[in-house]
Amino acid sequence: MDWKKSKNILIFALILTNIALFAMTGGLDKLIQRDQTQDPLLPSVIALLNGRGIGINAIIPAIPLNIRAIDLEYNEIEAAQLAEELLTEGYEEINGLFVGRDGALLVVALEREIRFELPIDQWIVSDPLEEEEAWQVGEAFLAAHGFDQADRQRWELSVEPDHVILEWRQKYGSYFLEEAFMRIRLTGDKVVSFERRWFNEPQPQENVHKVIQPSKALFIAAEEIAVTSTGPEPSVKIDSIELGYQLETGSLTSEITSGEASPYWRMRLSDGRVIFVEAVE
Amino acid sequence: MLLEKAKSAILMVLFAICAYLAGQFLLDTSSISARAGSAGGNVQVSVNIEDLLNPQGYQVSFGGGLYSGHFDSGLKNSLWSSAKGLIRSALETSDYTEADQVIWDEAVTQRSVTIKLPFAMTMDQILVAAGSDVSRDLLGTAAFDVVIIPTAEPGIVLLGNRSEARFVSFSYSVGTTTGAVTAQITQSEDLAALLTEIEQDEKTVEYKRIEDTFSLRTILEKSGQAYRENHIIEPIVAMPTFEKVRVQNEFSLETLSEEQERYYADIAFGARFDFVKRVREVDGSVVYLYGYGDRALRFGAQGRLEYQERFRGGSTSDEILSFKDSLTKAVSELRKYGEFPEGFYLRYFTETEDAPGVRVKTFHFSHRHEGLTVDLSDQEMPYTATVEITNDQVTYLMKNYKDIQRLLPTTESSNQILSLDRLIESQFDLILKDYLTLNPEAAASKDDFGFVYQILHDITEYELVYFLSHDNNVLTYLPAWHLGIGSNHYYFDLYTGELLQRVPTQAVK
Repeated sequence: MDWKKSKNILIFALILTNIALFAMTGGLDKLIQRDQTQDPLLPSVIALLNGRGIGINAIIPAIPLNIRAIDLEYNEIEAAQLAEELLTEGYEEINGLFVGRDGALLVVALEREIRFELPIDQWIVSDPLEEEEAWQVGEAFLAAHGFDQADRQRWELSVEPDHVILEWRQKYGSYFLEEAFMRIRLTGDKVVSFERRWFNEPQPQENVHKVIQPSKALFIAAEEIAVTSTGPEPSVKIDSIELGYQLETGSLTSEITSGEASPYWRMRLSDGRVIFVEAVE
Repeated sequence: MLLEKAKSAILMVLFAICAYLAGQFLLDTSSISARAGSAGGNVQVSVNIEDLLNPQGYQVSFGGGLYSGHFDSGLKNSLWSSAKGLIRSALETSDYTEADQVIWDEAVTQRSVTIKLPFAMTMDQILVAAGSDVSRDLLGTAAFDVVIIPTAEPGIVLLGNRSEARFVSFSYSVGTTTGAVTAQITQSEDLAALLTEIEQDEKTVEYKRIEDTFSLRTILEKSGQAYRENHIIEPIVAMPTFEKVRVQNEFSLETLSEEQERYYADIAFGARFDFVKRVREVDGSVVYLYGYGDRALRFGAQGRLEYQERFRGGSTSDEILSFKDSLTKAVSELRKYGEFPEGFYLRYFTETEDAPGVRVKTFHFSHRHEGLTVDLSDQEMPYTATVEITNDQVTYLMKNYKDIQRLLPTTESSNQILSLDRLIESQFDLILKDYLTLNPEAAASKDDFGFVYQILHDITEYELVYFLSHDNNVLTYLPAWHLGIGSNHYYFDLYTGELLQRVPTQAVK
């Protein structure tokens, strides 16, 4: 047999082998799934939700097929160092509580959760700032104390008669990281309290988990969402639906410091509630 | 020519793709088998539950006011073996009659064997402990913590609940010598012979009742009032020496290896290891979570291993298991996590109804060292192991075994064990203060003659135990006296009388 014919046979055999290997490694499934960029059950679920008085304001994400496992670890805080930073007029330490000479209080719980507050006599009596201005004042405070991480996102601003509360949450790429937050209270343009719990840079792992479709997550959550809904007219709306991670899972653990996070769908509702749905079956 | 070159190029590309896909395929296969875990650790074992259902203590009466609470372990085993046969004979078939305090007191003081059960058990549970397959609910939920088998006048078995002062008597036949009755006579004779053997054994320590030693009746009995005798006994001759024992936790969080973690995780989760996450808690505990926390395996502080599982209520398998079947399931599950320690036994049991149709049975196990109970009152979890069965599902399991390292020579100048009166004398201020707190009405008579005797009369426990002490991560079994007065319980060093621990009744199970 000459080399030319052998080449033809080899090419044919290799094509067959590659097709077989492609199928065995799940390539065909991936191809099929790639075509399904739209969640096929979504219209029916949305109709079902509407029927129960639940509206949707959110952009439903395109189906994310998989989510990579990540390890999270809380950012540890050196309490004494932070006291030097925040209690500039000097302080006294009493059993882990830092008391400033001006009456300000600082505590770092479990080496990771900061709670700082000025005494009430230092609060300014003034009208709350405009929304954008308030965010800028808050972010300037974060920047001044080295907490202006790029992985933060504005989460919520609530206005009270005499103060404003700003809250940031942590994200990892397009995913949320629940349980991490920074919260600032402003009276006028003065930061009167600050709270923070944050994760170090997440460590992606090799494992990849297949997540349920958004339609399924919405369907699972429908019962809980509908609790406050009373009629067919939408009385509650889903403002956002996102995929992300939580470190604390269920009631079998407490005060986790590090470990693999669990994927969740998170839905924010117009009535202020936040609902989580387990994203991996 | 050009075509041939193109073919060669295609061939090389196809080879490269083939190599890549083959690599992916191998990676997937190995990853699947890694995720599947090793089923090797998922040991299926069967355990004889009778081995774990044995008395908490024995008190033998030789008659004439002499007793023993400390004798050879082999004789204890033989005693229990003979007693079980008689308990079965009596409880399986006979009806019961209520007995009064006088009958009970007579039974304790005549030649007899008094068996202290590990906890107040129902008739059904006593039958299970005695190795019977018969189930009887003759006495409903009434529970008994002591069994007495007289040998001077064989033919009856008494069950008693000391705190409720309720006593019942069952009989077994010894009147004829045919059929099954012959076996009962033999068992009864065996028990009597064992009693004689214990009486004559050199290792047997003679005891007397505190009641008799201090002539309590003479001092405390008041005319017109019923007097209740105290049957607690104390040694009246020298006791053997007991050594301190250095022990260590089965694992330490500082040195826990990944192999150890995986070994137990494989047992807990078996082959389904595809969505198991490892997290660490603030106190250093390592937790493996299955799925969204449906199941968790925790390697905790003090070498404690815990497994928790959510109750899958409403499933088709939500059958409520009997006491015996639940115990069998509990010990089989526990055994998967390793051999039981020496002298392992069921120490306490509770049953609750969490919701209609959801019953939770909790089995607490303890263990003995050299025949003495190891008391864990000083520990956060005062048991060697605990298993919770909800209906037919294991929903919680905890084990906290200790490995024996070495015996510590006794350093005391005198190896003499403190006697009860010396112990009370050395700790009288503490005991008096606690006693008056519990019995404020007694303050008025605290200076009266007979007051100390009243305290002696209220002794509810006096037993030798090994007390697990925890001092700067150094664990030691210390020989100790467990003294219960009213609802206060004390643990004193056997030789120095130093107070090791003081606990309220609720913590002493």
